[in-house]
Amino acid sequence: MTDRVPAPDEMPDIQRNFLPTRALLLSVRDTLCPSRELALADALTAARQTLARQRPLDEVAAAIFAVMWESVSCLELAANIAAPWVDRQMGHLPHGRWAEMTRYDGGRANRFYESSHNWTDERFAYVSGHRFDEPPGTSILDALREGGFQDDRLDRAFAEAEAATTRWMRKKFEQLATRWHLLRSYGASYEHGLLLVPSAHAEAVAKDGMVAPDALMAWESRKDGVLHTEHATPREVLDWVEGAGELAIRLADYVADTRLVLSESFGFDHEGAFLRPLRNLIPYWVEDGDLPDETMTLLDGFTLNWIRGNPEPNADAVR
Amino acid sequence: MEPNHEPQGAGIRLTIPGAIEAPFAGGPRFVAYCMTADARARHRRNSIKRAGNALRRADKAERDPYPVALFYAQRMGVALEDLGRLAIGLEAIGQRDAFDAFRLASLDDIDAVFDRLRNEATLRRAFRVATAGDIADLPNDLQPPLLAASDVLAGQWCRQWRSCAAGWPLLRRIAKGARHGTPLLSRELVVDPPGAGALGKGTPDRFDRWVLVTTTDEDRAERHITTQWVEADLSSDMLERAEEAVLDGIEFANGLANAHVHRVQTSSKWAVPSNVIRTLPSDQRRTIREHAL
Repeated sequence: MTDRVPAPDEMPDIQRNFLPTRALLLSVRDTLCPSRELALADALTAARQTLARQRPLDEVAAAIFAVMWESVSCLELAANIAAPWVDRQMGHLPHGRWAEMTRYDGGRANRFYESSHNWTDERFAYVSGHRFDEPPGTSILDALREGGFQDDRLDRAFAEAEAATTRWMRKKFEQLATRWHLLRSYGASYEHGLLLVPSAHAEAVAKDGMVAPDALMAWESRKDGVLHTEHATPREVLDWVEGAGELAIRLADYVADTRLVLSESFGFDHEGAFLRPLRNLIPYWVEDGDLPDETMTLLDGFTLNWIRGNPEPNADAVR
Repeated sequence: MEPNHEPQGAGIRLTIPGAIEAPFAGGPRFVAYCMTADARARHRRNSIKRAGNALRRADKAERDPYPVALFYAQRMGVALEDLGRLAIGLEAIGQRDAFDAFRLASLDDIDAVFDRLRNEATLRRAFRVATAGDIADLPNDLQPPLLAASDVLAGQWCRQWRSCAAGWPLLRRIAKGARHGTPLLSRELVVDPPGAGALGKGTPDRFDRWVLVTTTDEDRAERHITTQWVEADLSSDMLERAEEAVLDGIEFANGLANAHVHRVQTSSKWAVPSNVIRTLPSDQRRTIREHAL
């Protein structure tokens, strides 16, 4: 059994920063992500059933717009949670990023997705949790080195994890940005009145001037315009939409979870805050085969324990 | 395949029957919107019922109820928004383009309409429910039964409206928070140690299940932020009552929209649903039928 090691004096303001941040991130990981996941799955099942039962086109449109709206909600959740690490708007204030997550910013998700193709690898590393923007570009390893810890194997594993995660994220953000761009108007139309156009009394005209059969049609919300699908059956539209929400949920979950690693390394008891073993300190989010097995084993097994009275942390690669 | 987005006029050709250009129609787009009421009502109703069933299953299985409770409440809030917007559109007929009023309405506008139409006289005007003064020019024998039917209808719609208006502030909060990805803290995160620090401090623990809805405003010039929070009741009891009111509100919106389409298609000034006419004495029912188009 390890000693109870008190938290350092210089930890962030517990009441106004640390605990609100921890609570918000826990709510994202343990409540909001599962909520969006269940809602999306429910909407998808309902849409597939509506198609299978060959319901009237307006009902099919409503069901598929519901999936689009759920997907947009997932995308916005991910943007709201991740943007404070790459597009900080309140960095001049000392409250941590939690305040930013609770401030409504109508342009946040748009900026987040539509600027992502211009991000440097370093900015992706801010999202992935490998690096911090304060001071810019600092890595987790820099923080460990400052504490007197250095391990070449870990340095290599970190570099591999960071590079693979950045590569994967860059590819996936292209997908997220495309879906955001095309789905957000449908999401707004669904939310602000479910603005269906009656298919029995309307025709969608495609770009080539031809009538688009089986088009799903809606009025735009809050501005002039109409939305409709073309050159695709409703089933194909649904297939195209399907993965976007799930990917956004994974992103939100990943961002919250990687930040919680630090929060969860602090415990609280009647004497105040104390340090807990630090696990999963170096994150990764990659496709199968993108990281060597031995790297993943090292990263998954890395635990940093704290010993009272020892000025330097003692790290063990366990398991 | 990708969904396409076209500017207005270039992408859709409408062929709506009836007096859609008449001043009382509110414009072709508004009529077209109202014509999809049945599909909308069916969709909203089913999505809420599925969520309600999922919550009951989660409760029974003693799974964490918050994830389901949140999207259940969110779906109800979105359905109530339909009703608020429709009311704004109907109210605007004769004053401005009803569809623009409907579509451009802000949340503040929706809050205001839910409040404003609690007043029966205002609701009658907005929803075209006749008063004695409105029908003074109709044949003498028609006036008493039509007024009687209108009074029954106004009473019914007022009750439905007030019930929906009562639920709107709570459901709106959850719906908008959930839609924009705002973290919503469950009761346990706030109340149980170590808590959420300064966030949520002093929140009364009044319900067995609630979330903390938090909003932050920034005064950039003063380098100052203000964070406010309020608890939103998500107890099963509240959600069941809300579901009852919202499902009723969905049917209400459906009835309002269909009544509007009926008025436009028959060029009628007043439309009274047949279930209301059935509540009248037989002689009054006969008189209304004789005059009906």
